[in-house]
Amino acid sequence: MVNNRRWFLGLMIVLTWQIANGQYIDQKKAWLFSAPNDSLKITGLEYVPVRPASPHRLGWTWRSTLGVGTMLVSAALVTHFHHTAEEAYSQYLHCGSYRRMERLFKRAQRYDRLTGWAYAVMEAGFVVTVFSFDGAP
Amino acid sequence: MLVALTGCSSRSHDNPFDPQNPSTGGAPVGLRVIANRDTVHFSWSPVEVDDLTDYLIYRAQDDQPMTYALTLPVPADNIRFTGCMFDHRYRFAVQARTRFDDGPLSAELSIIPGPHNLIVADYYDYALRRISYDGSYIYQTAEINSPVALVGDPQHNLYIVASYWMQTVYVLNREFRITRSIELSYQPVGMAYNPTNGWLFILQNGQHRLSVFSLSGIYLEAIDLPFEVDLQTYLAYDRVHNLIWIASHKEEIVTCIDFNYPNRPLYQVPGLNVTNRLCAHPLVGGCWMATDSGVVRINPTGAYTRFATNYHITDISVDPGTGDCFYTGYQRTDYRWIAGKLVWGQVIQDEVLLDNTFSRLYAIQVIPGATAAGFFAVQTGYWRLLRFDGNGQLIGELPEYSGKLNFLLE
Repeated sequence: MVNNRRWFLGLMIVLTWQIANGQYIDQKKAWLFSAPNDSLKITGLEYVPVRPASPHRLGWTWRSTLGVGTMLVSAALVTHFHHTAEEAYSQYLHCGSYRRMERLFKRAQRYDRLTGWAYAVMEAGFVVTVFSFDGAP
Repeated sequence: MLVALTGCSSRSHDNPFDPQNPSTGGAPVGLRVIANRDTVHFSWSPVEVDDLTDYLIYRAQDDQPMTYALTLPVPADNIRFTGCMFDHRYRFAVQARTRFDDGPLSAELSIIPGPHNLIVADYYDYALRRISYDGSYIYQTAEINSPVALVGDPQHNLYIVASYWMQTVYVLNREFRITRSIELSYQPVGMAYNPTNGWLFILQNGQHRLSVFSLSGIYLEAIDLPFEVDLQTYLAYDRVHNLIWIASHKEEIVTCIDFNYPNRPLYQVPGLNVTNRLCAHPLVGGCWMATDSGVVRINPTGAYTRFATNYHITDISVDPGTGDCFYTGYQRTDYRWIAGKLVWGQVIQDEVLLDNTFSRLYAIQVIPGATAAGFFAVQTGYWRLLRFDGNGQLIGELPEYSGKLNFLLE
């Protein structure tokens, strides 16, 4: 009788501890899911510890600074060269002198090429910028 | 991609004064030339560049080299030359000049002035066109639904066009604007006009009568005919004897209605298989007729004579000044195409102008000039309107013409 009473007390302590940790219900569920007629056999549950993520911050490095700077400067150059080329071509369209006409046309072509180069540099700056942010605080 | 971005410029040479411009070559473009009797109007599109000062006009006659004629300050973009000689080819070119450079000479444009322009009504193309004397330029086009007949009133500068599908006769002014219209009950197939009293004679499809209207649209009278009118019934007005000649291809009969008498007596000449137009003789009356065995000349008495009897005549046209009859046709045995002229006189002479050099000539229109009259011919199948001088030399050509045309000298 005493042994029975000790055994019962021990069982209650274990159950109480399991209920307090939520394990008892989960074990019951697991038992329910592992019924003989059920095709899905869940034999045990895994508990994955979840930790809150640490706050992320962009970090400026010398590379990202260089990338953004290159991008901004070359974008300004693209605008300037393109505008200059357009202006030269516009003047060429209404020019009545062969010599000046040729000069303006060549100038428009030259600034078109410079626009292309500046654009390429701007693209390179963009790539450098994208790959320069490593997420370190 | 890098090479594409940095190595190329897609700018094109669009300055109209630039010799490297692929469209203009640096010279004026949009050239246009119009002749009205002895006046030639030459124009071009303005060259829109800065510092343009003037245009230099060059001119040549016949085969002579191009020579400088005059300088026009901007903004002039046309010049009018008067006193040009008929039947001579004039060539024109223009050069733009700026404060700095002289541009290249433009392409040459040539024209032969003459006493007439030609009005052409194209049945299938629904168009009325004014064509230059030399047959090289279309001056004006107006849309007219299925024009089947065309006559003119030179005193009032009016053109009268019958529209088959609209069952209407339109009266147009010189600018091809419709001033009034006469609605008909049936489709018109032929029309003639008496300019003296302004009477309009109209044949309508499926009817047994000739209807007479005034130019203001008043229905005057109807004369019964002994046959049914169809699309191959032709008529002509003989202004010398005040007669109407009507020929039916189906009935192989020619009918003459005398308008000198109130009861409109009617005479018939049987056994003539008309193939196309009837043309009244402008000097002595009577009429010329295209048949399947030669050109037939019918006197007002009804007596007739055949010419070019070996040929199936496809069309005829009569010179209003001389009465010469021009014709096109083919030899029935070997299908050889010809164009010829029956020269009016005490003895009518047959002259061959084109001997199998152009085939399928189904329409002809004489165009009088300062010297020998030339003619237009329609080449069916090739759909070309060809212009020949009095010697049968090709001097002009216009594409895209159907085979069913009506002509009028302006």
